[in-house]
Amino acid sequence: MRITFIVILFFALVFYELPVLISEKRKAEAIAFITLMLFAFLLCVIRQTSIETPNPLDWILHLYKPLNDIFGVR
Amino acid sequence: MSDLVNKINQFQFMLLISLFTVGNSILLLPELLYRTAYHDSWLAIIIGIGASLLINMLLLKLSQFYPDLTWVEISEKLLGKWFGGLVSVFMLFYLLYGVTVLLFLSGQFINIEIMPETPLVAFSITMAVIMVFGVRLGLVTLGRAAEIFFMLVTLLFILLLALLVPQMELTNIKPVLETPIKNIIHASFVYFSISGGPLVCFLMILPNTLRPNFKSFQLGSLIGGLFIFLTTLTCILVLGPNMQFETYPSYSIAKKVNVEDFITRIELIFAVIWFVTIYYKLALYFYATIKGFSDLFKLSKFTSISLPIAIIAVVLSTVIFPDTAYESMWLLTIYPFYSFTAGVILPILLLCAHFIKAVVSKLMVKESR
Repeated sequence: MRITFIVILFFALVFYELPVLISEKRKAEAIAFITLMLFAFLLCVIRQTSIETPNPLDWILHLYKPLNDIFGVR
Repeated sequence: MSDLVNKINQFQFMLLISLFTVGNSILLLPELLYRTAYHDSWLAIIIGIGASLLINMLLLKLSQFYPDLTWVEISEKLLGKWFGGLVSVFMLFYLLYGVTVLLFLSGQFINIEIMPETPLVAFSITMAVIMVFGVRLGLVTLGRAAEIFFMLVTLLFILLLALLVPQMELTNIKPVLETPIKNIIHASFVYFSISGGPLVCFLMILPNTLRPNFKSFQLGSLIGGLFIFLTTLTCILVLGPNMQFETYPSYSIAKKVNVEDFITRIELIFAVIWFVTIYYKLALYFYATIKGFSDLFKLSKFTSISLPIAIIAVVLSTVIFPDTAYESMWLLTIYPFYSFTAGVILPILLLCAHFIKAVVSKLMVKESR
């Protein structure tokens, strides 16, 4: 049910944005828009299914953990 | 003529900076700072304001060398296509992170304090919709609206403080400087990471400003800092040691307003201030993000990618903070370093690259003679 709603939402947004870009002959923008939209769609579907969505903050946390250990705030 | 249409003026720029500095900090900082610096957190804010004024000089210096270029273009010009691109991608992740966290925080506040039964993501989506709407209308519209909203925010803020004066007790901030100096420095670092460091996103907005100068940048930052300083000081004066039990101290002091049992429960006034400021922070962050993305991929119409990026930010905002313990751990220990890297170290790196390049080109000219 939720997946259906997501699909409808994405189709609506693409039909809202893409025809304008095509009529203005902006090829690069159209490609960027579609690529990012596909990525966003994938993210939405992953969030709705039982697959655990990766948390980007965990990656940054691993990057800065050593610094925090050195300066020892808290 | 087209320059005048697409650019904001000095005054609007100043208001945007002060609204951006107030942002979510007005709600978040009193509580976060009290955890480390206790009743001396107002001292930490003064140090933090000083630090952010110093960093603003750095940012403005960088933008004066390249007045027409945004951050992404400057880093590509100075550091080359690949390394500069890497720096830009790091920066864009920082900005996207900012949008995501602000969406989460705006939902969290309404969910905890105003409408507890509605799911958090509903507010994030609402906020994202008006954010996209504002950015698609353009920076000039945001700047003009800021002139009206800033007046509203200032009036309501002064009203709130004036009504709270009878509740203040000076004994609550005594003894001054009781907390160790290390904690105060840490707290000022936290202040800087939330209010001062993100000002780096104005490097994306400076090319769209008419004659940006030193005065408006610093004055805007100072006014914003003053708002947070006054809020935190009032929180400490009114609540005292009770501050440790409050999730949102600055919201709960507004509940304490009581004038002869006639004017009571005016906390939504505070919520209005917060809505306006967080909206501006969110919209400017989002503007910088999509502007940066479109500069990186050399797109001429930057609003075309606003919808997918907004959807990505909303989805990520539901995963970033699994619980409040993680949230405060992140904001107190990891985020200051992250913000410091993006807001201070990278601009210094770019300035160094600029000076090295200038020296090298001077030497080349001498040799060719």
